[in-house]
Amino acid sequence: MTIVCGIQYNGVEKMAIEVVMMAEIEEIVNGLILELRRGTLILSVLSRLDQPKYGYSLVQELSEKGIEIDAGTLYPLLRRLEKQGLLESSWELADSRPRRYYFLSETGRQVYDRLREEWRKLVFSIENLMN
Amino acid sequence: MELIDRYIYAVTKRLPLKQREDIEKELRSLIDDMLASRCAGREPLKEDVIAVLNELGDPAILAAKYRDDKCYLIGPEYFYTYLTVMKTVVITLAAGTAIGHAIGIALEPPEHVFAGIVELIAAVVSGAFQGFAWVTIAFAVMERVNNKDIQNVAKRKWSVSELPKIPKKEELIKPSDPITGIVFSVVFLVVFCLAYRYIGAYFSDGGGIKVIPVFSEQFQNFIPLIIALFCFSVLKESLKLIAGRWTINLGIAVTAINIVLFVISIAVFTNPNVWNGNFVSELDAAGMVPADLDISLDTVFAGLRKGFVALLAFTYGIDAIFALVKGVKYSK
Repeated sequence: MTIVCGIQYNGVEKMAIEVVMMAEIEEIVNGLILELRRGTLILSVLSRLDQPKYGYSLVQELSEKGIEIDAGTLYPLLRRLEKQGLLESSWELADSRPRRYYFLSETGRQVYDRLREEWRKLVFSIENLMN
Repeated sequence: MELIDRYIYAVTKRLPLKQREDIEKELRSLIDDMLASRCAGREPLKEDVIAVLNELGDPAILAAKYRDDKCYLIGPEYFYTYLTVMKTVVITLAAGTAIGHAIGIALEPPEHVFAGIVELIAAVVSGAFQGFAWVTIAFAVMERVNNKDIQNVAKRKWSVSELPKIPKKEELIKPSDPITGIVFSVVFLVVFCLAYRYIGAYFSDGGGIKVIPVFSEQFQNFIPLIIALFCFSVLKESLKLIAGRWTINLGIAVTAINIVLFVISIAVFTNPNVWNGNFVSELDAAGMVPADLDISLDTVFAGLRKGFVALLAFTYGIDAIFALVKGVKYSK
């Protein structure tokens, strides 16, 4: 009896440890994915702004295309890119509501072209590494 | 919608004034858009607002994302030096104020001892706060001035030749030296601000100990200058603490500060209003001057005053030369 109990107890404990480890791995992976995505956000944003768009429409558009970004991250990012001179913006009335429309500046266009090139090289190299 | 206003307020109050209006407008239009997308035509309910605000998350975090400038008074670069200087100044200032007041109470016992003690505690607390404030201001200024240097350094190319030499033991400035300097500055400050009345000749007339002060009552008009002396001295010692070793730049800085210190000292101590003009006659009246003295005490007193200024000049001069020589010697 005791021996069986011991084995069972052991099994339960092992499972508990495995669950904890899984959770830990999950946490690490999530953190790293976040970090990976962070680097691609600017590229994603620039790629969509050859036409003027307001922030929330950009959130929705990116989300439809599989890039999730919350508004609380995107709005400050847009302002920062404008401050850097990559974007321009103007307030416009649409559906009787004022909205700020952002679009690529000339500098932004050039920067985006370069970044896009860089991204393709990077994808190629990383693919090469992983295969 | 009151909740929306409160949320926007919670974000914008954490932002620089000049950005607030713009970001408020932007957030309001964002929240409107999020509500419209969530409700698809119907009027938004309170639950919708709550859900949208929850999605936007903690206002403090959102505000932090909007702020890209640095938001600290004293950064990691100086923080530990700041702590050291601050502790030294505050502790010695509190202790010095307490001792200064205690001497005052002992010499001129107040009518109500309790009131005297309350006054002492108040003086200690206010002294400690003054020290805290001045040190913090000095370091905040240093942080802002020096941070520009760091940014410029980041822009230019770094080369291996810039690596600093590992300093020899005699090149290093032991932290205890500047700290001692700060303690002395604090003692100086306390003595000259609180206890200048008690610097002088002491005698007993049977009824108790009396003092003939060397300085006049007008000395208190010069206290701002004394505080300036104190601030520059602490600045000098802090620079030594931060540098940690003798360099030419430090030598130049020490010399410059000593020149400022000397000019201020001259302004204070060569002014005749600072000194008690009746010192000698009061001394005479107290019967402390031997009758058979054949030199004029006025001359002696004037000589002592000149000597005091000369001593200051000598101290500042030696300190500056010492810092310059060491700086040149160890910079090679």
